[in-house]
Amino acid sequence: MQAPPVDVKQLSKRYKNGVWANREISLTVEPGELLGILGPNGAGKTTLVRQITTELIPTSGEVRVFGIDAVANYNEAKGYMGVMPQEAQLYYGLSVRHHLRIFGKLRGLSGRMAARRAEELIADLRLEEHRNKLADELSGGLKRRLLIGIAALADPPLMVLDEPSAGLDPEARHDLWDLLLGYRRQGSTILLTTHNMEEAEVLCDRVGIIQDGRLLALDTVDNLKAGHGFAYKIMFDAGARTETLYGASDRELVAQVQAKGIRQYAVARTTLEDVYLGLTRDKRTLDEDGAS
Amino acid sequence: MKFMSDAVSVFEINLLPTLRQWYLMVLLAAAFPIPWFYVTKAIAPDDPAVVRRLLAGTLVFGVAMSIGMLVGQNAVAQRFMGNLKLLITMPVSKGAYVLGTLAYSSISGVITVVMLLGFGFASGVDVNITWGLIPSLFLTVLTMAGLTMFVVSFAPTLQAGNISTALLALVLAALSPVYFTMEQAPLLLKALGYVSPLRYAADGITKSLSGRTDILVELAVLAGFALVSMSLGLWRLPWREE
Repeated sequence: MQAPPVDVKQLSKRYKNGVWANREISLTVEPGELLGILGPNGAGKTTLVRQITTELIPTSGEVRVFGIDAVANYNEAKGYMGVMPQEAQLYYGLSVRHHLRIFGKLRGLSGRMAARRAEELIADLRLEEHRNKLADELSGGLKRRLLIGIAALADPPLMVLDEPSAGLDPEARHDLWDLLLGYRRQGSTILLTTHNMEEAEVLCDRVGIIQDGRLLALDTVDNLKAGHGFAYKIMFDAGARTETLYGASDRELVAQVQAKGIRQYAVARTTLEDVYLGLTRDKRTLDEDGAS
Repeated sequence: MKFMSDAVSVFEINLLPTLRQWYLMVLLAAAFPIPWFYVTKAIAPDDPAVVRRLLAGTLVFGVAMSIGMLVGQNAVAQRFMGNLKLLITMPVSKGAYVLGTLAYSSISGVITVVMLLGFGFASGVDVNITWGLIPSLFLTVLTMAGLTMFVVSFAPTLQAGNISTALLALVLAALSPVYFTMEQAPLLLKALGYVSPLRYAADGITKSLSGRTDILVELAVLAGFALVSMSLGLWRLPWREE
């Protein structure tokens, strides 16, 4: 049986300033899946990803990429990954075409193959009219497309993308999603981090929720909602504020709210954001709510 | 094979943006050393040996400055502006990155040497170049590159890194007896001269410009400095974070 693309066991990271950015995280990314790591800024997403991509050495625990120890054999592990780091900057004096060709060679392609692959990616990424533009002449969305293209050079079996759509407008973000879904359809395994709930819900086969360095949950969105009893929510005015309560059944929620004399309410399916808030804050159901 | 290919790619990454404004690189390489040599030659005694020492000193100063600034500012810029992150994610070794960066930075050093020697010939400096010139310059380049990488690795900000690269070469050259021999040096500079790689570089280059080949001691000492400084520089180069 082939080793999984990513296998993380009890991974912990303590920075020199004493901060524990990751605590005993274990997860496996299955072949062909798009797994998202969701969490707010400072939750530890980038720290987790940087250890997987070998940029950061873990304090303890194990990281394997296709069975390769990514700590001891980091260069070999990097050969299997296309990475888009969060704060990576393009080389402003290089054009789109130069970026793809030169980084293709760094990926191990021959000069001729790298040039051919660069042209393929320019077409795939719809960068034809920008091929000779310098990186600093590109918009934010185009820069992101180019960075994803660099990650996709040499058709890596695993792509690791740290906040790929951060700072993009909705149209550019949706373009990026189409790109990523396209790579997934071609068989790539993708691990990405995001703090955008919609992105996680739209793109990801499974979502891991991380907060304060710990992995709180890892499952499909539907299972996360069902497993935490949050299939539905009901919102109603309680004095000066809007209350939101969660439950497994919409009918039960309505019945219970009506029984308390509340007549104005709205029922909806819970979103991933509700699951996230429920996991990371104190959640309340109607039974636990002392308010009338 | 991949090591050399990666070094060439890193060299390309640095060179291609510069080619768009190649004239700036030529100007930077020549703007300081040539006028400096012209002035010092003008006020120096009319003694061929003294003038050769001035030329050697200017070669050392010019190469040290250009290598120090290019290697240092390149390393600092890539580290603080995020370009290095992109390279680190590639299956590229630290050594290949350093070799490619060094090869690019050496272009400036080569331009400085060629233009200075040309100016020296044109202004009638009596030189008789021997084989020792090239290894002396090469080992000076390695030494300055390693020292620069080591020093800038401690820089907390982009600005601090840029300032430290400029200061390192300047201070090292200013405090080393490069424009005069150890015998002529004041006491403090004489003491510093024993531990300054640039002094040995100036001695070796002066001999190489004077038709002499007895520079094995200078080359050996420079090689030692180069080995230590490159080891320190490579060790401190931020590649994987602890």
